[in-house]
Amino acid sequence: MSGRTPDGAPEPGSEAFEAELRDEIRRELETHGGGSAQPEIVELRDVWLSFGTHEVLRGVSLGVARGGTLCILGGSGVGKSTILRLMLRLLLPDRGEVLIEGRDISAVSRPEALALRERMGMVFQGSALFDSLNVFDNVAFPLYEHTKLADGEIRDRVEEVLSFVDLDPAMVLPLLPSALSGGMRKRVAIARAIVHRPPILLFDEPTSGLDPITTRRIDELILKLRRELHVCVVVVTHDVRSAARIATETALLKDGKIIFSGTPEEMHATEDRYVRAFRG
Amino acid sequence: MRRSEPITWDQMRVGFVLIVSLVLLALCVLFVGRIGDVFGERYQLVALMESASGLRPGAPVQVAGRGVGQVERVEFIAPEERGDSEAAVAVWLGVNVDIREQIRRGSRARVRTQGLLGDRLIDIEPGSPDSAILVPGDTIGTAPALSYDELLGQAADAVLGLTQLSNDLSATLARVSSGEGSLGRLLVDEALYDGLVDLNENLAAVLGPIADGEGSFARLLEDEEFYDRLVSSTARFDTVTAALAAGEGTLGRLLASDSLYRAVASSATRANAILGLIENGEGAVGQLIGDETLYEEFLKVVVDLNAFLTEVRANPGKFIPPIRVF
Amino acid sequence: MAFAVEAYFRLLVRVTRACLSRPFYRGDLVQQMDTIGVASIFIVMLTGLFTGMVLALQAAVEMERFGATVYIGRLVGASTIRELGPVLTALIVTGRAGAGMAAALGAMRVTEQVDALRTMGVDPIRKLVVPRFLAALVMLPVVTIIGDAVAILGGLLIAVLMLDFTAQLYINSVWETLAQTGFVLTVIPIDLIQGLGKPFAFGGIIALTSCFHGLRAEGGTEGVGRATTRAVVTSSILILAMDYFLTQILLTMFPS
Ligand SMILES: Nc1ncnc2c1ncn2[C@@H]1O[C@H](COP(=O)(O)OP(=O)(O)O)[C@@H](O)[C@H]1O
Ligand SMILES: [Mg+2]
Repeated sequence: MSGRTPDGAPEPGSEAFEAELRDEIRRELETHGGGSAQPEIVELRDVWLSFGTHEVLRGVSLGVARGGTLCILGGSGVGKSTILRLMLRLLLPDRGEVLIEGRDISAVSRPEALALRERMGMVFQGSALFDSLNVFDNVAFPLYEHTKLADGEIRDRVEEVLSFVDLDPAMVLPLLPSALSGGMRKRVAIARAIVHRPPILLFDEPTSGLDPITTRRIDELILKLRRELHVCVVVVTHDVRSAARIATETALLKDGKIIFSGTPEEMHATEDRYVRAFRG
Repeated sequence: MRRSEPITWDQMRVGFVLIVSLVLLALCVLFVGRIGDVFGERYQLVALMESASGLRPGAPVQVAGRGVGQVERVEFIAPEERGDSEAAVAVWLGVNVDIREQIRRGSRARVRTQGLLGDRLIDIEPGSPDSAILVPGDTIGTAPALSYDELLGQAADAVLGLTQLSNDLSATLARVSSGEGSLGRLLVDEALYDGLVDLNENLAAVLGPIADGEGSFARLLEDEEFYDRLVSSTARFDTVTAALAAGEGTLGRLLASDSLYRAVASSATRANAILGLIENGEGAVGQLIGDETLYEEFLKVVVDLNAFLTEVRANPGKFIPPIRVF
Repeated sequence: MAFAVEAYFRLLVRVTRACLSRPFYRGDLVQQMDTIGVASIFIVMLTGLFTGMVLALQAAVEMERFGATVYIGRLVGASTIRELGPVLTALIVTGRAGAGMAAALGAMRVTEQVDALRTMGVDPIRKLVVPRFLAALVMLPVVTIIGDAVAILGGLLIAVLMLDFTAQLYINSVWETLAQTGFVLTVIPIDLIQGLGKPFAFGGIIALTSCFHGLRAEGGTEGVGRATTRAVVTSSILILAMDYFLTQILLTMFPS
């Protein structure tokens, strides 16, 4: 890797050279990563959390490596969304650690937390599009907030991600979220989550409330994200069939604990009564 | 949202409204300032007076009834600086320079009240053309604020009224102390005596069971604290009665009144007549009392009320409406 | 309750701090000035017009008995500028813009838009509350000035059309009463300090209370409704209470 020196590159040994080298190595890793020795990018270690007297999480440990897709399954109200909020540092755990790219996020300062959040994109259950802004402004929002890109570049980026999620930019850009169908809203939300190219994507029940055909399309979109953008995905869902299609890892949450974790195949083969019951 | 934004409608609307309001505000300050005469150049005059008569800084200064400035401050003159003049306060006037030549040596400043609300102001009589124009810092002559004759006349009326009142008062007190009037007559009335004897018998009947230690009232009688309180209220009652006997206060005067006694006596007679009619079952009230069904109705109401109260006591939350702000 | 009061003041502190530092969302500020101020102007003017007219009418009836109808301009001017203008305007804006603010923020809260902002590294206090707070601080005095002006005009209408006053006489007596309370800094009438200081404070109350309840909305659409009701009721009460205390303070500062 280091032998290849493009024209006009900085002198070997200089600081700029080394920085560029590091960048290149990172890019390589992102493109071809996924080996078993990979460190976990998102990880929860023995996390406890309660709201008042209600203990929601009681010692949850899970993780997902670069290039993997983790599906967290569980009934409603068990704390699946809560786990995502912990990863985004919208909540802090009572006990335990939440690690993003190896750093404990409950220990970082506020500005560092903001920088960490820029490494993640989140698709909320109800899409959470800003309903006073049209599709363009919604998708462009993270770019205007966090980059210094010019108007033209931002427009290109927005059109690019909208095409990626199979929406016709020319048609949807000026629309307000209230004019979109549920499936389209979900796609716009995905576009907004990936527009600043975060290495980690979080989905909260991406297919709940959608018809079977749209559900399939969204699942395919998530697969395409991993395949083409090589991001690490965490999906929270109660839809086992959907999980079987998209997951590389699954974890089943019940009563504040992970009662099963393994590949979708392992989950399919397990004898555990609750897992089987949940699988249906 | 965009990096480079054209001017939008909302910006224009907001800007327009801001400008309109600022213009209105400026107009207001301008007109009020003109009336209050705060923009014109002023010079100071001082008027030495016995009393400021409630003048405050900001009070208008007029020449021949037209506003020309404001009172700026009112200061006491130190006793040692007064000399042989009676003046106790120095009133500083800010006067518009445009009317300088109206105010001359012979001008007199006086405190006047204007309008229904009695606003205080200073009015200056213009001076005659042959005397000198006052320069800034000069002392202006003053005239008395009020007509003393009028004041004395009003005071005399008040004094006469007071004398009359005190005469009446002493006459009344004399009669009370000599036992005249209704108080005295109440004391020698036979009928009252008979009534009291009857009352006593009734009381004895009521008090019998209590003396035998029955009921809650009897328990009350054994209560130490209640006794103490009773003693203290009796003592207080004593002082009140003493005051009454001495004919003090409104009540004393009431007791000494003859007409009151007659009025009470006549209403007692009339009440007697009415009660007689009722006893004979005459009139609506009489019929009501004789009516059995009414009694039963009443009993039912009492029973219902009892049940209701029991319910309330057992379950008070149900009957108290929750207090909500939202 | 005590917890809510503490949270309210904590919000005030956070908002004040956020006002003084970057990033600052200027576009949102202008937009909020439009929705809070400009959009309320019509209804504020209508309120002002009828208030001024009814004040003049009542004053005429009462003062006729003393032959003191010349005081109508004073009464309308003084009561409008010192009390009725600020308070009525604030209550109207509470009902219109405050309710809107609470509902909008409540809806954003229950549909996770507030969380979405935070995940995108945007502080909801800066993005949502600060523009509304500053806009209300600026626009309340502005709409109050306009409302006052219309109210005084309403009084003028009655005075001229029904009581045979000349416009000049009426208007002069309005200026006179303002001049009489005295001036600060030699040219600013004290009544104007009172008449503009109050709406400034009321603006802060409206924005802060509405955002407070909006951001605490919980439990779906019904929660949004509850938050809106709370916002309107709380700010109305706070406005009336604050009016009393401000009057007390101003009377102590500028005794007349
Ligand atoms: N902010 C909060 N305050 C109190 N309780 C909460 C809060 N957020 C979530 N909970 C409770 O935590 C539990 C898990 O919620 P959540 O993670 O949303 O469940 P789900 O698995 O359906 O996504 C629920 O019982 C919910 O009532
Ligand atoms: Mg959930």
